[in-house]
Amino acid sequence: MMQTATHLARQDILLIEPSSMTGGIIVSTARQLALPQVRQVNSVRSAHAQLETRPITGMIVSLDEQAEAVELLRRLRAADFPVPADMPVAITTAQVDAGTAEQLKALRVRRILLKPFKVRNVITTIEMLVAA
Amino acid sequence: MQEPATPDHEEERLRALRELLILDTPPEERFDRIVAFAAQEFDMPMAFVTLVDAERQWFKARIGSDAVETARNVSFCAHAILQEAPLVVQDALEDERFHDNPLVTGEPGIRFYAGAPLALPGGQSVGTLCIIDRQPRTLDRVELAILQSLRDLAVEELTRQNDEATP
Repeated sequence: MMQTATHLARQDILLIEPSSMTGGIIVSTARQLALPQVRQVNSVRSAHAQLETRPITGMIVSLDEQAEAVELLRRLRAADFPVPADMPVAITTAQVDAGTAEQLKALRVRRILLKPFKVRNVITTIEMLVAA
Repeated sequence: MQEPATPDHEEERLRALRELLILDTPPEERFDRIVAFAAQEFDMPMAFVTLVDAERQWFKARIGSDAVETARNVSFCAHAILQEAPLVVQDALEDERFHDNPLVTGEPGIRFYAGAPLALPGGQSVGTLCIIDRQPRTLDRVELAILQSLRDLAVEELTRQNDEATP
């Protein structure tokens, strides 16, 4: 029971970010600000394992692997993972065209951060995901 | 101008610094990318990884300056290593420690300074990761946390080098 209660109380944020340096700085800054734990992975493939095993309640997803990332979000919304299917999601991307924007809107993406982004804006986004 | 005090255990601090075997070594991408990241993140014209030696501060990585070192007695970073928390000087012209410092009244015309001490696992602060502007500025809590994260990364790189040099 204790384990279940702890699990439910946690609010981990999953960050899919290919740059280890950028991801590490985001993780460290979130820790210093006592925000929920941010778990960084470098690829969509690695994100699958996190979604299967961790109490993830929000995601920031890089569109560097666009097809894989969109499919991940589609599966998330279809409740294919043991995490809340309606969790808040933000996207990071170097560019976004109208078609992709429509696709992301349909997948209920809350925010799009254009690269190169500032860590400060990612932290603000994490705070938004936690409050959602 | 107030010259920086000498830290407690200065001999031990200098020994730890020299054991890093990093003074006067060529630029390295792993440190250059940290100062580049800091300059971009904070929109600062200058950013440095500095190491405070006995009589000088030497720059392992630098953005926005051609200088490779300055005298320790005019160094902002020599003040920053005296404390655990980052030293933030919002406007050097309004700060009695720095208002007539030659780095403020002359080139590079420092007005804003924020430096996070590079504290080794043994506790010795050997230098700083610092950002500098020619305009007065402030840092909020998120920016301070980001600066400290970048500082932690710089310390990680310093100690990694030391670990690799240890047989």
